[in-house]
Amino acid sequence: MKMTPEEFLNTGLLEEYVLGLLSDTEAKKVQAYIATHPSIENTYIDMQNTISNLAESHGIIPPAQVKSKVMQSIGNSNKIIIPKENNWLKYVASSIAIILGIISIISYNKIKSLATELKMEKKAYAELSSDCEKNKEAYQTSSRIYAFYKDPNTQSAILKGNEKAPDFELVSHYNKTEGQIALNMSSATDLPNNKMLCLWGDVQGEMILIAKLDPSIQDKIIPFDKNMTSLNVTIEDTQDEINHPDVSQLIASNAI
Amino acid sequence: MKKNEKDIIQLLRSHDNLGMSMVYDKYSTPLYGVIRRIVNDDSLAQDALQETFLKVWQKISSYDGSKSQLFTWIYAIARNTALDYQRKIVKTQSSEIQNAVDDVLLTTGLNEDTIDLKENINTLEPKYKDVIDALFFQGYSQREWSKESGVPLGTIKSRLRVGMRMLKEIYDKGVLLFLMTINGAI
Repeated sequence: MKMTPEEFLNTGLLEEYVLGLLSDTEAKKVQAYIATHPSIENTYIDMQNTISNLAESHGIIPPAQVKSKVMQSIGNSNKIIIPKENNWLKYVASSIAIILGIISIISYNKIKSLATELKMEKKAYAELSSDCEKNKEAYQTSSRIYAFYKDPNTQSAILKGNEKAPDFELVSHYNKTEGQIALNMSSATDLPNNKMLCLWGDVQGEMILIAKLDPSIQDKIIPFDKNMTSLNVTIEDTQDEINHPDVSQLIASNAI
Repeated sequence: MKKNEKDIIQLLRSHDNLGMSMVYDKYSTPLYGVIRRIVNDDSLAQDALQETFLKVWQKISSYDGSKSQLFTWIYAIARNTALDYQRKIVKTQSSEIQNAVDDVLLTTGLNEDTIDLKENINTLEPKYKDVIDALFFQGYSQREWSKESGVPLGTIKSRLRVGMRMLKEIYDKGVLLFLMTINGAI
């Protein structure tokens, strides 16, 4: 801005600058001129004082409540600053909530999946436990049978069928000390549906039923009276209540 | 910059309510006078004054003491705020209220300490008084007032400059008289 101070004053820019009417660009030019010309700076100061005095001379005392409102406003303005922080915090909180929500959904699905897997694992575990118990039971049974067979007091007796059942053969292993017997029906005989085979023990002249000879007795240790002296197999009616053997139907016998 | 003004600025910058209370006490009367002249409505003028101080509170960090006095900065805010309010008022109402405002300014609410000065200002020739009044109290720019009054822009500029110089002399004289009064010279 190459103007003499007088030329500059004639532009009227200084007055407009004091009144705040200039654009930022114009204001910067005026500021630069003021900064480099002390006489203009003095005029500018005088002008500001004049404006202040002019305003003062035309001053009107505002109603008292205006100050209260202003003070209340800046109170609210201060509060506005805090809500801005709160808004910021809200955004952060919202973001965290969304992230947590997503994590929750992922976690829920994961948990649900894990719960399904756990349920399946529990089922498999139950089945394995059941199998384990069965195996344990089988092992114990096998152990008992093994111990039974290994016992030196265990003896064997083979009951072979007579003419009524020539194919029949029953291997018995008995232990009179323990009062136990194990049966192995190596060869059965064909019977009508209403007939079955029964094993009897002779105890002091009285026939005591030891077992019905069906496949379930295989590899089982059955208790019997230690005073038993013989083993006898008869064919009985399945319908009848069996208390005494039908000696006419005796197919095999052996002393023990 | 006066010490009191420095304190006010510092308090305002630290958002201390005391700063606002002080700046309000110091400048609300001259600013309300300006705003009330621009905005021809008591209620709106009060709202504009309130908004002016709220803007001061919010924009104090942008105030540069090396570029202007605090009042000059606030005056510009008040003037622009008042003009915003004035634009909201129907123009036809403005001329009707203007007469009433002039009466109010002379009869009620006027700062009594400045009545003498105001009377002295009224001694200015109308051609100077009009341009100062238009730019200072009615929110016109020099170009706008030139168009409004039909007076060439160059003439408006020189009248404003001369008018301002004459006002300065009046105020300087007023200050001198005041100083003589308090010193018992009169």
